[in-house]
Amino acid sequence: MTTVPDTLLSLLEQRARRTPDAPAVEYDGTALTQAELHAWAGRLARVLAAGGVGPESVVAVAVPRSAELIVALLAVLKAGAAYLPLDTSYPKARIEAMVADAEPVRVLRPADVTAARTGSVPDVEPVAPTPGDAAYVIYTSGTTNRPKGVVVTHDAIARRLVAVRAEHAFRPDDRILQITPASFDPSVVDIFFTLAEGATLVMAPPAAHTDPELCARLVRDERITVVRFVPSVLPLFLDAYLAHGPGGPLRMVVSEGEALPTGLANRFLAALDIPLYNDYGPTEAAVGVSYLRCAPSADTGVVPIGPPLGEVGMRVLDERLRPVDIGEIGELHLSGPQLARGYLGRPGMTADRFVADPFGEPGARMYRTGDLVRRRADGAFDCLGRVDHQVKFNGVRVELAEITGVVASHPRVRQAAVLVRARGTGSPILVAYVAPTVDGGPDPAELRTHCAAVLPPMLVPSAVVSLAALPLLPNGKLDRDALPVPTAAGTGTVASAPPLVALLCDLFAEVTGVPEVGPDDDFLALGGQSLAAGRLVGRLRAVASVELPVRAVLEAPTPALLAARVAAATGEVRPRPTRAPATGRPAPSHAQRRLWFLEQQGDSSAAYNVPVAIRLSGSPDPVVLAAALADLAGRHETLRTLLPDHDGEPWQHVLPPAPVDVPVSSCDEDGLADALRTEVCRPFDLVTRPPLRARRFVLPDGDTVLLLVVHHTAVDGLSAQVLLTDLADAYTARAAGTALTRPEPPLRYTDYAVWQDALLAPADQEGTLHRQLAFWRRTLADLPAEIALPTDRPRPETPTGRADTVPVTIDADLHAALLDLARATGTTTFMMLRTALAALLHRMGAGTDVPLGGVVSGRVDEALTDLVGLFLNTVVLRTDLYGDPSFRALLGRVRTADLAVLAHQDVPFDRVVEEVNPPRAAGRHPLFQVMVVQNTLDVVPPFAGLTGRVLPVETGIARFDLTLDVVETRGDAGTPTGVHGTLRFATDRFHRATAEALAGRLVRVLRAAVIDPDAPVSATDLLAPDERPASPAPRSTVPGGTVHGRIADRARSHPTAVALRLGDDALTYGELDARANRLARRLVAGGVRRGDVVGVCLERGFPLVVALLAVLKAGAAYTALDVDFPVPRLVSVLDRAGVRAVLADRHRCPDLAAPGRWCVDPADAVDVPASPAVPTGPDDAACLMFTSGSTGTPKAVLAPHRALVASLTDQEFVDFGPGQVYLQSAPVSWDAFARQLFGPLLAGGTCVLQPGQRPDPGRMADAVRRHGVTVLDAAGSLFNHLWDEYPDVFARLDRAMTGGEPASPAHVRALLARYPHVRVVNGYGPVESMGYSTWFPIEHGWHTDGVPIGFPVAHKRIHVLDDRLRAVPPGVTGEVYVAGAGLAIGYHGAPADTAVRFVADPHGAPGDRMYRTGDLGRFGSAGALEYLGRTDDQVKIRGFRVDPAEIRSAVAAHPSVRRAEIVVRGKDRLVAYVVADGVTEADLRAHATSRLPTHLVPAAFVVLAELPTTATGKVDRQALPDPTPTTTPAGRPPVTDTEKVLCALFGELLDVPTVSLDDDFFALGGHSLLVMRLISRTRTALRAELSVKDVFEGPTVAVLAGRLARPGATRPELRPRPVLKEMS
Amino acid sequence: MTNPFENEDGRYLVLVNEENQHSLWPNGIDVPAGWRVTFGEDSRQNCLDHIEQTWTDLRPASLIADIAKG
Repeated sequence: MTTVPDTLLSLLEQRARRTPDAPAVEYDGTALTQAELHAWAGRLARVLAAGGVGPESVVAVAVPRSAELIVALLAVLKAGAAYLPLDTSYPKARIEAMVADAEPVRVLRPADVTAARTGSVPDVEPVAPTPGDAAYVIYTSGTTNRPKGVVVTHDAIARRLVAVRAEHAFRPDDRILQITPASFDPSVVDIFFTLAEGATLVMAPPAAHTDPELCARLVRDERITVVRFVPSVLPLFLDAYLAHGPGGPLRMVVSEGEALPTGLANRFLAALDIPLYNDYGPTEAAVGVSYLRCAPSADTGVVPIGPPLGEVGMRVLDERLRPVDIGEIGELHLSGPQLARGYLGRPGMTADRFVADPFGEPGARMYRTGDLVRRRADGAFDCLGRVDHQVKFNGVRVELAEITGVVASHPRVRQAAVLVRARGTGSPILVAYVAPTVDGGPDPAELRTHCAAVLPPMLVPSAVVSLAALPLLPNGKLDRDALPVPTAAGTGTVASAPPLVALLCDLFAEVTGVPEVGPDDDFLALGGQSLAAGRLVGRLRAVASVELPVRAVLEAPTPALLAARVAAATGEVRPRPTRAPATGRPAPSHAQRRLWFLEQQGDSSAAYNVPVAIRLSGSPDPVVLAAALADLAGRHETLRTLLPDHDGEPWQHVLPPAPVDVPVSSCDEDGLADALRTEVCRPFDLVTRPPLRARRFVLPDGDTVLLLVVHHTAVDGLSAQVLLTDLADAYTARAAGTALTRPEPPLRYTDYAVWQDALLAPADQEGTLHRQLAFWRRTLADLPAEIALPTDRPRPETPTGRADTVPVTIDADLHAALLDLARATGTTTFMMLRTALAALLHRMGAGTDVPLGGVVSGRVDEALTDLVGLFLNTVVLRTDLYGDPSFRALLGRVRTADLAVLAHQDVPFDRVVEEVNPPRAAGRHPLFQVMVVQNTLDVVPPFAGLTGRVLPVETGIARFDLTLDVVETRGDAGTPTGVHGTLRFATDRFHRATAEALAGRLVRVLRAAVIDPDAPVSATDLLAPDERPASPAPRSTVPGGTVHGRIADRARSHPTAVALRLGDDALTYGELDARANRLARRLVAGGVRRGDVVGVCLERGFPLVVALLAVLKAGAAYTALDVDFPVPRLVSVLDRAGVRAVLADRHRCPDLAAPGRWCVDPADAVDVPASPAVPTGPDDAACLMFTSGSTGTPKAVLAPHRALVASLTDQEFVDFGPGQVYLQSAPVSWDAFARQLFGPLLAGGTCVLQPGQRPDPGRMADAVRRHGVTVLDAAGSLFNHLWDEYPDVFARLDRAMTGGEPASPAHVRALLARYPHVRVVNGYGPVESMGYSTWFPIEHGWHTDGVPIGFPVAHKRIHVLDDRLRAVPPGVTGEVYVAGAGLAIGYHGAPADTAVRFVADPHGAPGDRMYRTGDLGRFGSAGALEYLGRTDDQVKIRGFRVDPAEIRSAVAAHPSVRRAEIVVRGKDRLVAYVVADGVTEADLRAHATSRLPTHLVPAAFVVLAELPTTATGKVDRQALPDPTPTTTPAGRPPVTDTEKVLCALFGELLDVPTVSLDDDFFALGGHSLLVMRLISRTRTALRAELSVKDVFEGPTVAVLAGRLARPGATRPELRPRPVLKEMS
Repeated sequence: MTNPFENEDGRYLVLVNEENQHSLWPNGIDVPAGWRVTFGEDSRQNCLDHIEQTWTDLRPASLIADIAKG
């Protein structure tokens, strides 16, 4: 056996010497380096040594968790002594017992530690400990009512630390959260292993170990990488940690102290992708003897332990100390140098547990663990429990005998037993069973007090069951099974409990797992223990923003008592409203003031008119009715209150009671609704007229409709019933000749306003207003400004405010099922509806953070219930749908959030809006856009002999985008009879059909919820049966053959038809095919084989087309290379594609050839015009196209012949056929190139090649005019530019196609208005599905704001799927997937990338694939697909798919660049931010231009000292400065004519007033399309030719003017044109 | 919206169809007809590594066979 000559101290000191400046300990803002820690501890050690402390002394450390604690422990070690940790929160008696037992020579307290930091210390050198000396004494629970101290030597613990280095070593950059109290031995590892490894020890505050939420917060705030937990705490921590999402700083978690349930480990591993270790070991063997990295397991039970660590022996022995076989059960025995010395002062007990080891070296000992285990074949051990009755309870080893001894020591207890029992979903609890003496036993509280005097809090039984006698087995032992499980059911919530008490009842129930808790239920009796108390405190902090110590829960253990503490902690003592003395001008309530202001701002619409209509069976007496109305208004001051202003402030002018006029009109049934609406929509004038008016409508059948219209300033929803009752009773009384005898309401509305003003006094910094505003500020932080609703129309700039409604019908059966679920979850039907609505909106694309509006009654005092007036307040109910919760879980979140809202309901909504200050927009309700309201069915009492019923009045007014209004109905015996809901929708935004679909889906969500409340909300099928996607149609007849085969067919049938035109030249199909055959034979002769990829690098012209066809005929696939691309990029492409043959002009060949790659000029063809007849089919690869890729290199898309043929044959979006002339202008590197070239060639049409390599608007216009082009195909920006500059080219077109980027409705509209005959097509599709996958025919008169991307083209399919790959309902945003015959083979040479994007198609035929576009879309009205942006970082800039990563890696390749970040500014401006030394923007642009195609070259380069980062270390894009286009301040003015024209052109194109010679085109906001325009304009204005490269290389006027001065830089003008035309 | 194929912490399968085309697949979503599981469930990266190692020729199996015939 090897020896480790280390002591714990030497390990620590070695580290301090190696990295003295490394951080060692952090606590509450204090940080100590290794050197500082050791220096401080060294000083304290001298003090100790001077006091006689040395090896084998015991020094007690009574210091709470802090930096001082670590100093004290280290000082004891430095003094050569053993430390004894004392937890000062333990009962005095227990501490005294420990001190008496261990007899420490000295007790260190915080003051001792602090004192040693500075000042003089004795000059005494401490004696260093030797490995055999004791390092610490830690007490564990003892069997005989007396804890026992385990003495561990330096050698043992040092070996433990060294042995564990192998796998779960701490690293110097680790930050370990120290949460275990020093009195438990796992702390030894936390503290000393961290320090020895040079990691940082972050001391949690003292209460942290019982507060998992605090732990989780600390882990995130302090960037903790490693934590250690007992399994009881781990799930709570996990919940709290995951509440912020799965990412985070942790890299490893260790479970220790008790058996780790497999389910918990699985849950952990599923949620966090970091290792979880299961550590095992008793205090008696230096903390830990084994660890195991957890793996997901299908086993139930607990994670095994083992294999042994270092030199530890783990042996499973039977009762005769014989090793057991694999699979057998025995007791685990530990041996080796990690064993403790023994129990302090207990030789007998030590000899009992540390016994002679029959298997070790002579004289060796082994420790009997008392753990029953089973040996496994893999070397690990299954834990099966304890040999004795010792149990683990929340990670602490508990000797039940010890607790039983304490319980039994109560004078009135005759018999006692203590067990750990699990109950319900709560944590296990300690239960004491007692049989009383004849004097009557102690009550539970008394017994707990008795125990708490001697036992640590976690060992005090939380439940006490009193029995006449304890049940016994025949052998006289306790019959444990016969002991009843305590039924600690709560007494149930009292409905009338104040909100805070109700909230606490709910939280008690949540943390104890007891379903119904009443205000007087005792926390401990409910099974709550210290851990649960910690959770309760955490929940209170989160829910009610109250900070209470854990102690408070134990001191005030009922909801009622704790409520007082909470109130005291918040200073909230809510006064009751009282009758206020009359004042001159009583102030209005906050809500009245808000409505008054709206009115004053000219918003005197009828939006706040509240109708109350009743239909009476007959004709009321007009005189009696008028008198009754006067009585009503007399009784309720609000109904006769004006709101005039005084110095700009409104006041409540209460008029004396006066008769109310009731005009009458007759009306037929059909006209009733309109008549009512007209009356309701007449505005009030709050300043001069009372807010109540009435009208009678006499109907043909003799019924009367009585309509009261009351302004919202005087009434709210709950007022309606009061109003109806008082009016009916007054009428009845007046009809009988008497008067209403009801007593006056105790309070008036003005009293309420006074009370509210006092409650919300802004001056009181500690008061309700500030506290509640703080709550709302916190609760609504980062609220989305607007949630995405499945609307049909964007929000108009001037909303009409009109609404319509659709019914939401919940039948009696569903209602009953909802009630059952409500009962089971402690919620209400209304909460369930709200939860369902939030879940629905989430599923419909609203995200995971869904704010809903709600109302609270605001009638906070009983004295207000009988008043008519505006009391209600609007609140925001923010619903968190993160992590795909089940409906039940979501319901729990909603309930908790509701309770918190109720506790902060007083502050008026408009104050909340002001405080939160969300971004506003016209017509958008701030903070929420969807409202949910619960209404009650108002009852109309008889009007003397007339019966009445409430008549709904539809006002057609929308205050929100959507409002769900529900009324629950009940039968006679309270039986549920259904819920009548109304979904009100703003007609500005929704079609009726969409609202109906939403209503149907809401009911489906509810049905799914009652069937399986535990299914994730994402699992609900939202689609109505008729909306599910039809099963895939049988594979339609996709055109077969190959590209070259089909073209050869055309050549045979129409040899003289013109295939290609360029300038004055033409090439027939016959010539084209023959030339291609000749070149193909040359390729085959040169070794090109079927399946190869051949590069083609030629300028646009006939040879290019011939070359492409030749490659196909040779059985190979072509990759077309842009001659303008930088050579390194071309070579990199050829290398990546594995190209072995290249066709290029002779002068380019040397650049492109390489060892193993030959390059030939197509002019070197053989002279045999027959096809080489290489067999090829539709599956053969035809072309390899490059598109921007996320890995920094472009992705190579390999497409088969089938994709080209299917995409370009038999299509409706265009007629490629004979007679059509198609312009080819896209560069060879775009996928549009294939469409523009092969589209016409496959169909026998003519393809006109635009001269030059890039699309050039001037040349395009020229080609269209010259060749009678019928089909023009241009990406969005280019299309718009053509229209702006050359509108006449559209005159004779048959079809104009745009695509690649969102079409501009303005341009399309203008085009169609002028040339209605042109068929305009908007196309969409990724290169991976060969060009267009969808198309939309834009017809004249199309007038919405966006142009859809439409419908699938022939032979292709489109899916819009959710994150579980299910088809989303129409109107809902999902990700667009493309399937069908256009799909590529994949990404050349990138199988993983291919398998990630081309995935199995669940909606296709068996074995089909679909391509994941990364685009968001939805099926809008009429089933047309709408494009809604990208899901990932990719962006589209002027139609190009751009991956910033690709640009970033190219920019970062510059040798001086240390970091780079690419950001898209505005719509289409690429900006590179770089950290670099000594480079100019020009250097960087030149570098980027040499590596990237021009459209990927950033428009601006910003050099920064460093990139701003977010808290998580990512680049903070928000903080990057915006390079606003700037002119050079001291630029030279232009002198020559060329310079003057260029300056003018810069100014015109870039919209800059003055441009100097030194201004940079890009710095002024130029980008690659503008470069094309600059070139085009320069050509027109100066008859001079600039190249793209010229502009990129020298983007200032001075340089460009210099270039133009070169000879040969001019060319003939194409078209006379005014130099500086007004921009259109 | 999180794409189900882009969850770095998710568990995945590798599917293969008759043409030996491979597809990454989120564990927990029904495997479509015509595909069988050949690897996993496992971490995303392990699945991708497996695909890189096993799917060495992206062309459909029938085409490879056709070319091999000459």
